[in-house]
Amino acid sequence: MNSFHFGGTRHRAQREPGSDRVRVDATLVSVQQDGPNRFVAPLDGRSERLHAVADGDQVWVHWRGRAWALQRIDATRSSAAGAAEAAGTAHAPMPGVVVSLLVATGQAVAEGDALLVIESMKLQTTIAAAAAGVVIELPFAVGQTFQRGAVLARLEPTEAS
Amino acid sequence: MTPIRKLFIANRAEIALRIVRTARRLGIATVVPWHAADRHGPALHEADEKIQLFGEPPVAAFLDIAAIVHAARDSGCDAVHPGYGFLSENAAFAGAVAEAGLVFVGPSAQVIERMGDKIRARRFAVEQGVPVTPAADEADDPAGFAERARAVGFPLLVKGAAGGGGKGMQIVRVASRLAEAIDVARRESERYFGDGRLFAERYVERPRHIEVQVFGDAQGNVIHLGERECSIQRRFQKLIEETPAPGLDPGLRERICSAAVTLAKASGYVNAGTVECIVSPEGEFFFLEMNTRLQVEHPVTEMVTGLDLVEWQLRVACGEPLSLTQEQVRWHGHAIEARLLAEDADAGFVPDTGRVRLLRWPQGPALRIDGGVIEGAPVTADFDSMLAKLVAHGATRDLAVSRLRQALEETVLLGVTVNADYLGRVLRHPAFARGDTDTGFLERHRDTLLPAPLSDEERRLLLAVAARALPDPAARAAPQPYAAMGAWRN
Amino acid sequence: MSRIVSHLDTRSDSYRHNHAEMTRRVQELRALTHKVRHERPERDLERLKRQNKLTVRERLDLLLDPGTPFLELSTLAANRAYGGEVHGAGQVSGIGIVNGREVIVHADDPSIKGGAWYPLSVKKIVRTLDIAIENRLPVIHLCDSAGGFLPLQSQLFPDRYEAGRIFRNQCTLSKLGVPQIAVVLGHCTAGGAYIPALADYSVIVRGNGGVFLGGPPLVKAATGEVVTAEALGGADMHTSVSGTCDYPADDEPQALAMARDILAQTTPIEKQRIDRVEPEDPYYDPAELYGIVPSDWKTGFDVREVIARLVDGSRFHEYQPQYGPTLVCGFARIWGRKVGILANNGVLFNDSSLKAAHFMRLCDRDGTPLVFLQNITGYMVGREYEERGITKDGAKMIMTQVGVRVPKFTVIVGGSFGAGNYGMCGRAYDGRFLWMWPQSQIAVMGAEQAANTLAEVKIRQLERQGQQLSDEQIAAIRDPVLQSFRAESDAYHSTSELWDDGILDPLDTRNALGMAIVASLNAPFGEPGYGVLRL
Repeated sequence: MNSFHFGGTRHRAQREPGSDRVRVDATLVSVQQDGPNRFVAPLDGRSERLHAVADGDQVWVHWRGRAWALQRIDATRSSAAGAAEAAGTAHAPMPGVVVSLLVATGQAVAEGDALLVIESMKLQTTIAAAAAGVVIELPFAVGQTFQRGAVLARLEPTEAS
Repeated sequence: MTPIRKLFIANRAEIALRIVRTARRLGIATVVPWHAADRHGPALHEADEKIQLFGEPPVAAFLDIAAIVHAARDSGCDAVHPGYGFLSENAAFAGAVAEAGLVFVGPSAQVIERMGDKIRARRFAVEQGVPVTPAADEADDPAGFAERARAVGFPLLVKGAAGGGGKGMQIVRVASRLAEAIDVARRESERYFGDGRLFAERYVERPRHIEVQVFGDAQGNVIHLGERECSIQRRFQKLIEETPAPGLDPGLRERICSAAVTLAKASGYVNAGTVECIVSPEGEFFFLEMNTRLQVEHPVTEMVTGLDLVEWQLRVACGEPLSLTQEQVRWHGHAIEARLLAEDADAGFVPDTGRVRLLRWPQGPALRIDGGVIEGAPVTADFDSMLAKLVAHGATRDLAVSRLRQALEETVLLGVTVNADYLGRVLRHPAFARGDTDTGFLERHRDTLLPAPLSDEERRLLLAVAARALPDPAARAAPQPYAAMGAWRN
Repeated sequence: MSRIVSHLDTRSDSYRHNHAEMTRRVQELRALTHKVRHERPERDLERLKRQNKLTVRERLDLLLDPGTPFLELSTLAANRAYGGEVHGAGQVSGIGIVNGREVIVHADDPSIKGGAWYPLSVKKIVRTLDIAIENRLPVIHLCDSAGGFLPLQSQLFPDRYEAGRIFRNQCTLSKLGVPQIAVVLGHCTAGGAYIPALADYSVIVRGNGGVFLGGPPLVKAATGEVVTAEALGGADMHTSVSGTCDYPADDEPQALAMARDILAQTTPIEKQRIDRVEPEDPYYDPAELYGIVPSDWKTGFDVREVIARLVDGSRFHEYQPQYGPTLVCGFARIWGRKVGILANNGVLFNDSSLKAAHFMRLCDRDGTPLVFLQNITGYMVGREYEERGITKDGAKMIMTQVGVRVPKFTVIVGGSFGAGNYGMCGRAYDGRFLWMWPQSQIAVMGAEQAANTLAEVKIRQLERQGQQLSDEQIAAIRDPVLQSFRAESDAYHSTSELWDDGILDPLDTRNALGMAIVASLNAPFGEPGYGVLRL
């Protein structure tokens, strides 16, 4: 069953077998395919033209100049975020390059301590520790580029005393 | 006259392609560099030859003077066009090209050095009687800089003397923040330009950024090709540029353009250049800096004048005189350009990466698309986030704006977040339509530039299309007669 | 196959009267069905929410393919038992589609008495698994039960077809190669623990799922050991230490998505082929069914009018149309599949019994499933008929009917009385499915007849003792019998006791038969074989 993450909520969207209708949650929506990556659907009495392309487990949809990425949910995977994971890793909020490393592996840090400085599109940002811990890995060296979401630092969280 | 038979284009993406096309029209062979991280550039498919460059990070390859000069010479080129960005305003590069016996398509190293250095350029402007904003520099007395900066008055802009493109700049509104701003600006300037010298000038509130396209030839002729309005900026980077500047007093326009020509002529300027000024709400203009290269937004000038500026650059580089006198230049209608960037404009202009999964450029009369990506190309943080320039022309400003808006709406670029819809909202904004523009426009109108929320019906439409474009691979259709019964329950 | 010519007068008084009555009965059915499916005490729903559990209907929604039908079975089980509080006997059972495959679902309803198993709950589960065996339908168990309802344990535990039969059926299914997936959404205690253990695959939800032969209170009482449910038989223990369950899940939506994915890993079997064409809707309006069938089973009607509104194109090839006219036999299609229909149009005589037997053999030989539309008071009685061998001929009909290998489907559209029930494939005769219509009746004989008979017996007995009974006294003997017979012979009583697979709105009959016939083809027909016909 097809489920998507969109606008902060999960939705089911499944095409009715052999038809141009798609069941979106509890409603049936009519969408015709008009060519590769092109779709036509009625809305408010008008015929709307949309483009869409699959990108791994994502779909990009373009409509009237706007574009959205909808994430297909693998319902057999857990929806609970790994909270333990989050405390021990710092993720890159955007793609960029490492400007300077302010800590070394093995170093103990407190919550909020600056770990490294990154730069992206003329913006410098300091990445801080989300919780107290010991730095176990700094995967990127100064001058190396990374993508959004990349793990910039791994920490072993220490228990609060 | 030294004809150019083969041209090395030391650049990439949309500008490399644009230069290749003009060169081809003129019968000039082209060589374009590429890096392993940039294998899908559109220019690579159109140039006659391509040469691999190496460097980590990838931008370093395009800043490697020795390697580029080497590649140009080895491939038998007679000239090098630097495009914009990268080494286009690097005097050492211009000098190295000349020393290698190749023609540099641009001004000489000395002119680049004099006019590219903000402080020197300012002094020169003052000498030529061109108005400048009150300012202070470090010169021979770095210790007294902070004091002199404070004397200039607030608000104050502290920036790197050797910089450009919006990097290393800090606005200071109260004296207490001055010391910190100086530290940050120095650190950034050192990092980006390898030169921590600073410069502080009065910050004009609600300034309009107006620049003039100038052109000089080796015979000493210098003309201007009109002004451009580039006030729609975010983080000091231009997003939308147009010509002519809306609502600009003709007398003021004349004064600015003539000041630009005066400056260019006095500096012995040859080839294409742009004199950037700020215009205050009171109608005063101040020289800001000169860019000794072709600008990103040159297409708007080309569309209203009907000229090919890259062709002019190549001819001037060959030694030809300018083909028009000032009196012969004609301007028709209005042109406006929008920069399509790979960023999420509604999330604080955060850059995005991905791959271009689907690409459909719009079509229409009076539309020009300078595209820097092809379908399937990756979009990474290795290079600039600009993916394309969309330019529209019209007999009136309203028509040009309307055409550009439609073009943005019809641009389908999927696989990475782009700012197309945001740009469309700016163009639709009533204040923009009125032409009240200044560099604070985007910040000031932030709350009225937000995207409209989706209705439930619209959301369902998008989900339905998504379900059709990405069917569940595990799903098997229900067999008959179940499928025909639909969701029947007894 | 030619179209039945309808002689129905939709403007007649009888049509209008029947229509109004049936409409009323169907509304009554729908109201009770709605109550049984959806009305729950607020505190039970609160409890489910607190436990992060979904309702059984929400679970089915996530399990089944969207936009596909679900044929729910015995929805109104236990509606006349246990004070009417154990809706559906605390179980939901039905045939649906998961990733394009037919499955039968057995789901505990934790919002009814914690999902506890009453005697009728056990009967419903056994019936569900019997259907699975006979039709080779993969089973999805949605387990969430408090266990057996102890006060009534003597009616749900010891006998042959009681609780033990559930697990025996699971083993039989496994032997036959029919996949079973158990999704442990709550507790599986004592016997219930065997459901996941005997299923091919099991998914268990962390925090809520628990599988143990004895729960924490019993363990403490037995050995003094103190242990939490999670530690004793929770997801992590069983999926990583004991290996009793296969897949841990963090929540119910994930567990149900996993069950779907697991089923997709099993290989579908090739179904039994039967004669099949593109389906076609009936030519006559099925809505007219309401006006055809009278509320009072004693009033007759032409069953061909019913057939005309159930079958594709209203087309019917009648067999022996002149002979044995009280039993209509013929070929038709339902949702494209060819079937042989036997439908009562009066009492059974010698000729109708022989015709039935012959027709059933023809269908059996050609692999044509049989559909029985029952409306029968019995075989003809009397000296003339006995001399002609009515008992012998009835026996031939029953012997043949039991011997066929093709699937049989029965809908009781009127009365089902006495031996007529047998020949026409009543419950005891291994039909794959049997349904009642809302006004149907089932008993050894009609209530009046029974009351009169019993009253007669009593009157004669007292007369022999020299007593004369007044009208009131006669009524006092007769009326209670009449009442209790009536109560015990209507469709709601039948469905409460699980003597049938549900009461159908006549308008739902076509779809129910369509789904049932196609689902039944998962089992091969097997070899024909009859006993000895007394000729």
